[in-house]
Amino acid sequence: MKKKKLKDLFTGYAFAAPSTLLLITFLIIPIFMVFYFSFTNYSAKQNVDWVGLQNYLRILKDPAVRYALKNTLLFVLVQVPLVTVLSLAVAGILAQQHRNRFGSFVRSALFVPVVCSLTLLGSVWYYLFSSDPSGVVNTVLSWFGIAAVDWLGQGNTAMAALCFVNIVRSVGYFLVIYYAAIMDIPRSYLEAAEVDGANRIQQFFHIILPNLKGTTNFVVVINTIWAFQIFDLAYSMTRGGPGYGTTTMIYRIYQEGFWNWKMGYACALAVMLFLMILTASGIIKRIFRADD
Amino acid sequence: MNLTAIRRKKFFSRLLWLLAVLFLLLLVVVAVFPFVYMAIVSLMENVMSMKLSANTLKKAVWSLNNYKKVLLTSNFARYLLNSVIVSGMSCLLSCLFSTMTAYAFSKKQFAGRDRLRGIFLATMMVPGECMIIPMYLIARKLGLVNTLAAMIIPLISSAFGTTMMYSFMKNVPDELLEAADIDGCGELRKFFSIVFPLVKSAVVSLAIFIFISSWGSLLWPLLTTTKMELSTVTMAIARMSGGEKATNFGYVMAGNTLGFLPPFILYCFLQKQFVEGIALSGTKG
Repeated sequence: MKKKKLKDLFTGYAFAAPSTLLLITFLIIPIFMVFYFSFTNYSAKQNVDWVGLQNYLRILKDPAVRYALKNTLLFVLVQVPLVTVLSLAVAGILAQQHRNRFGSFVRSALFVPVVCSLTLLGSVWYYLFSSDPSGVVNTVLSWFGIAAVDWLGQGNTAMAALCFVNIVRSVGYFLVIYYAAIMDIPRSYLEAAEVDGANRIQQFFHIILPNLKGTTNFVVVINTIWAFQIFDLAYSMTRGGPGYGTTTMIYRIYQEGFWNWKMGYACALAVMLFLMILTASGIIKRIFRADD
Repeated sequence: MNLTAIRRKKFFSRLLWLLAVLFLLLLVVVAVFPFVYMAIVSLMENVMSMKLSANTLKKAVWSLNNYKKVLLTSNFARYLLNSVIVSGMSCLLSCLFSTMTAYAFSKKQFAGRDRLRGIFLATMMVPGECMIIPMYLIARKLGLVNTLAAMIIPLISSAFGTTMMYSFMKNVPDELLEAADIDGCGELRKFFSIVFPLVKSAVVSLAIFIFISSWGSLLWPLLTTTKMELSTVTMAIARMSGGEKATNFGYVMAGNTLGFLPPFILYCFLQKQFVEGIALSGTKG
């Protein structure tokens, strides 16, 4: 018995070691480093000096950060509720009305943007959102008598375009999670409700929705974490522009760190974003726990 | 209830059904149309107008010249190969390591096991992109900058993968492992010939999940390589769009199509596993 225990100890460590070492090297140590360097003036040339809160004080006065913060928060606040509601609605419709070939066609089709990267999706939509009146989005709008818009040429509309593209992809992703969760709800619940005369909409709100609380919690948290870290779309569609129009926090960290080589300052920005994400996911979890 | 009331109710429920179907179809068009557009434009020569009217389609010269140009002038074949290597290796190693760790957490008794598992679980919530600067500094210290390995190694350890595989280790009965012990089966053999086959379907789902995220990742490869020839497809696409060649969009769309096809073809064959990988991530929440 003792021999088995010893062997377990040894093999257990051996099997867990590769992942654990990599996790420590590339995720856990970086967490400490990002905090440490945020208090230094780490850059390409100089020695590293401790500068206290200087980086953080600079953040407060940096107009570029203000734009990045505004864009990121806007993106999160628009994206998360819309994606949650849309993916839930689509999953509900599909699970309640279309457990058939049409339904599976819709699910496969909506998943296609998930298969490709956000970068690629952004690259295609960059052309669809062309400012030209002959651009696809402008053409469609002209059918409804709406004049051509220079979508990616202005901060607000460019941000809206980014949100739109991200929503298209995210709905495809979270729809799958919701659909699987709805299919896990025992059929008997819905059948019982049907016997009691509840219609589809009542069934959705009184049976399906309450059973999806855990899933919704997960969807909202994950989506929030991702939305805070939006970068790929801003890079492939607008390069953060026009001006700071679509510069997001990660984009700013990338620019400060790897264009200006101000690693210390970029770390301070990263710490700020990190704390914002932790706070946001903490609040969301609390909200979901609160209505138990 | 009288007859008209019943009829009205039926009418409204039909109307609702129709609206729902139209809504779904609209979403499908929004999701799929960009790819159709991409494929069509990539096959047209010297596209001047972005409008896909009947007229432009009629006048268009159809050819594979855009593809030829992309593959011959921009080293695109090399980028594709890089992407295949990076995604393939990440996939392979990540699945192997995740399953190994999950096996240790689930079937082995060792000091600190549950705490370690807790740490893995907690890191799932760490926003990785916030850590890119220290990650880069470590990669640089290890001499990984400007190697393909830099794009692979830091992303191998997957808290998500480990957690997912852990929940599948229940499918491996302890009795089977004990029996193997009695037969004098070695640890490695036990792992590869008993455990691995029993969790194979989950491994496939995980592999696909990692493959698409690795294929599409942009920020990390962008940081770790300055050499053009080490670019991945996703980097090349990001560079093209909005870059100087952006005006020749038949060319860009050909590049996009080439970057789109490998994961898409995989999706066509393994649709169930694609969806499963993501659905599983939800139930683990």
